[in-house]
Amino acid sequence: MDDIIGSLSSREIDILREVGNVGAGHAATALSRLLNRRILMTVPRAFVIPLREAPDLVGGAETLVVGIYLSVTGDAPGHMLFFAPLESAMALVEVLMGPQEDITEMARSALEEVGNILTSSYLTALSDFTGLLVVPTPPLIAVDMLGAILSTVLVEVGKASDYVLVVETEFQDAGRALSGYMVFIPEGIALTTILRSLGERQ
Amino acid sequence: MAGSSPFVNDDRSALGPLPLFGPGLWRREAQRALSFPGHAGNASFQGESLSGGSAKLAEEEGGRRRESPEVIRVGMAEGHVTGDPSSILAALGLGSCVAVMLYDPARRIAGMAHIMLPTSPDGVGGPTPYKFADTAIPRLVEEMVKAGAKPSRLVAKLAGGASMFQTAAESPLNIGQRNIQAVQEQLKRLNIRVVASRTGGNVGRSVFFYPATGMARVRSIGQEEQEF
Repeated sequence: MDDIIGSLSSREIDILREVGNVGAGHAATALSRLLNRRILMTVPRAFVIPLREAPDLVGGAETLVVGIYLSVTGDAPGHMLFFAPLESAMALVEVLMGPQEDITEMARSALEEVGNILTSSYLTALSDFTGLLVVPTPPLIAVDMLGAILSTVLVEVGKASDYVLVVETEFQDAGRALSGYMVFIPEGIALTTILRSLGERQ
Repeated sequence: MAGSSPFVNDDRSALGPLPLFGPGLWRREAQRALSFPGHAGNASFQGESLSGGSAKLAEEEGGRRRESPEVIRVGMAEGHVTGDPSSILAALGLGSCVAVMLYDPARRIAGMAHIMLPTSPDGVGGPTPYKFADTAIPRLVEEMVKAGAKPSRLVAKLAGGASMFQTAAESPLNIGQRNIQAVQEQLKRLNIRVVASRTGGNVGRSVFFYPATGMARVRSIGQEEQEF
């Protein structure tokens, strides 16, 4: 079985990072409009790692996070995960709905919608940039260990590959009360399609 | 583009390099993994696990430091077998994945496989047989036997196989239940009895398996740590 992800060249990974850069820029703009405050973003990073290492990303497998997951369908299938440490997610909810005691149903709904807006902005930019049609499925939320959430998201990728390509960006507000991560994990098959659309592969 | 919003900082370097991602972080996590149950903060368990343990271990008495046990992280699609009573097999952050723990009580040989999917596409599992239930379990048994375990003595404990998201049963995200079924089928086929399990539900789990005793511990967010 050809492992597309495991055999990406560094130039190709750079190009995929640029795709992530365009997407994340749009998502950061959407987030700042939604929250009506300044949002900083890191330069996205793209890297290929073995599956076994993936759940240890960003603070470790047991870190408590709120994760909002959307499956990406269409020409370039993949996975989009927006996650934030619990305190940060609570702070985000507070900006949107006022102080909350807990992650209530309403708060979960609001967070799902944030994930939806960010992912849609990201994918719109990706679509404009590549000319590919990509559509997100409705958001799903989980409040649990990051590793448990991430590993579940990676199951589909794991069917075809022993590696995973992660394109990640961190968002923060100026006061650093809010911080969240956006992670784009394209399926192997999507990588070929994206690279082809940009004239990088035949 | 990012610059079109008055709120987005165009100067991305303003945020500086963040230490949160990358290999540096994984190293940090490896250190953090040392805060496992049974180490330091749980004296009663330490005593228990050490009784009858190997002479290699120095007992913790009169402030003398004992040799700290080796934690072996078993990552996704990995498997590991050990007969070292001072080691601990650990799978952190299990979601839909299943940790299968096999034990030969007479020889005190323990093995763990961190399974992601029920069936391998080719029945072989390629370079990562531990990824799939149908190839992982025969392989784990094989490795246990190589290490000196007897197949007829093996017993199994299971953890994981949760549904992390509320989705339709047929959703690919709901693979946990199918993983558990596939694991149970394989164990049944090989006549290995499941003596305890902490599976299903919708919570992530970390599990620790102690070759000295065959005991396992599981922890989830917001729940008491459990021995099983």
